[in-house]
Amino acid sequence: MTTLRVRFAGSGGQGIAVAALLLADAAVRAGLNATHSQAYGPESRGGASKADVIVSDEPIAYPIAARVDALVALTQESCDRYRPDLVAGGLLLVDGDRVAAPEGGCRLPLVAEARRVIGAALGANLVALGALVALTHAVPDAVVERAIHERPPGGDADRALRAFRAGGKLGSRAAGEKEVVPT
Amino acid sequence: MSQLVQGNEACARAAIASGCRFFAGYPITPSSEIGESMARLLPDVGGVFVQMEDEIASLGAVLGASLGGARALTATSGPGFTLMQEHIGYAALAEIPCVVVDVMRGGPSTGLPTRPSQGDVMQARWGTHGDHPVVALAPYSSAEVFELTSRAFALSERLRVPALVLYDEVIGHLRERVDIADVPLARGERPRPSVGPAAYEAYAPGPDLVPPLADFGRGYRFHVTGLTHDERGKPTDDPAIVGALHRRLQEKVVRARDDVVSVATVALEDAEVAIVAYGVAARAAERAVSDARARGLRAGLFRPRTLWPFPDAELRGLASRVRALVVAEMNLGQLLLEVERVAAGRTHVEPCLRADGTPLTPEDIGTAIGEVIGAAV
Repeated sequence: MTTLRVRFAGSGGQGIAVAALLLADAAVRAGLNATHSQAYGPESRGGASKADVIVSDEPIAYPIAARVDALVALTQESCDRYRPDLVAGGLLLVDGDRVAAPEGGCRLPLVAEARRVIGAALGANLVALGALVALTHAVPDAVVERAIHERPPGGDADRALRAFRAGGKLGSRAAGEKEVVPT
Repeated sequence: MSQLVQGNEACARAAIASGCRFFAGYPITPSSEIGESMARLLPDVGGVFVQMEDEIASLGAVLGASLGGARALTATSGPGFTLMQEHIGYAALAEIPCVVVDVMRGGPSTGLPTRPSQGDVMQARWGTHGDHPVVALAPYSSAEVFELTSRAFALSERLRVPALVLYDEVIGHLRERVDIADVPLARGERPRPSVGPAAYEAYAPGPDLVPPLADFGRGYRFHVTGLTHDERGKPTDDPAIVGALHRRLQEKVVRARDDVVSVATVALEDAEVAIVAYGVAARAAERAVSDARARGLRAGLFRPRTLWPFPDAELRGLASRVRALVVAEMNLGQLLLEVERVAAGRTHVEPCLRADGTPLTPEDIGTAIGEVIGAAV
């Protein structure tokens, strides 16, 4: 059985839940099982917000992840808060310009890349998603792209795809340096 | 086709697929996506969505729509469910089909708006005053929200009772895979009069004790009241009529019991310990059962998909052959009381309760299993 538990974290409004939703949607489109749950409390409007996705080739009984295999953190606060939930040897993917990641973390310029390719920091969630998919191979790129077409964040699929693909390139380059195996 | 569907969205889609064409409600976390989805879906099928001023009016509008012939839905959470209790009683006595979804959050009062709970189980049964029949279903996945919402419509229509669908915030907000084409839609119609308006008596029961219901505005003139009434719908305090009415209201559900009560089980054949759980607690229990089995502990799961009427007969049989029943729920012991009543000393009943706004975990239940089996955890 292969199960991958991913947490997307950042501050409310960064599109954390949307990135997670696209991953879960893509997993289901790829014929896998997936669950998506997001923070609904005050943190979803600021502070350390999070959304969890479980992807598995088996039915998912308990849909809540106490520990995660991958943590994507767009802010220092969310990284500090959720890092204890990351399993030993798990993937920590952070915004390199904003988060002082510890040893072994994968630091990529997620926000800067979003600004570069679509001219807005708000695309960092999709850059992160692209990098995560490249690093974990949780689902095929093409299926995520289909999910983005169906649920285009901000209503603009082309922009979203540009950000996703740019993230994929960052992730692939980083993957050359770090092999990631889902537990 | 497989789709990623949120629990609340599954509820709305099941309602539409089941012929629901009227929704009245007032938004409240964690149920709001049901109303939101109905607002989006109903216009396309010629239905009506009304955002009301509060939950009392919401269920009032639903009952009016139902008497007009529509399958009608409202959805809320604990605080709104409390406000709806008066009209749930009205629907029970006046025998008006309606489906009420309560997505449970922490209570009492405003409580914990965004956190899960299973604290409304007894309110669902006894929240409105007086003896009354009620049907309450408890799904534990997006697919089952779809299935049991459809079933609630079928039972409500067929038996002319308020049918409640109860699930916790986790199930409401969780998105997961659903193969909609594989989920069965339940069939059930409200009985219609076979006589003309002149001969129609609105509360004269049919063979299954359910009176045929004419749609308002179709020439059948009848009286609908919250007062105890005779077969023509006229208020009465005649003890013989009052007593017979109360017994019939209960008995019509008892007679249909086998179609109403539904239980799912996991690994009970040789179980020494059975977990009793519903909603997300049953998801934790499923994991706890497989973990326990992996440790060589003979655990199983008894999962009521119908909370009311409670599955007495099914549980009684189980209680006489297991060493213990572990009741896992997210309140301070509500369904526990029913389990203790049915177990009646046949076996040990162990509570595994959590009421802190967070879901029960497989570890919580695993610990309880270990304790009752007396094994090291």
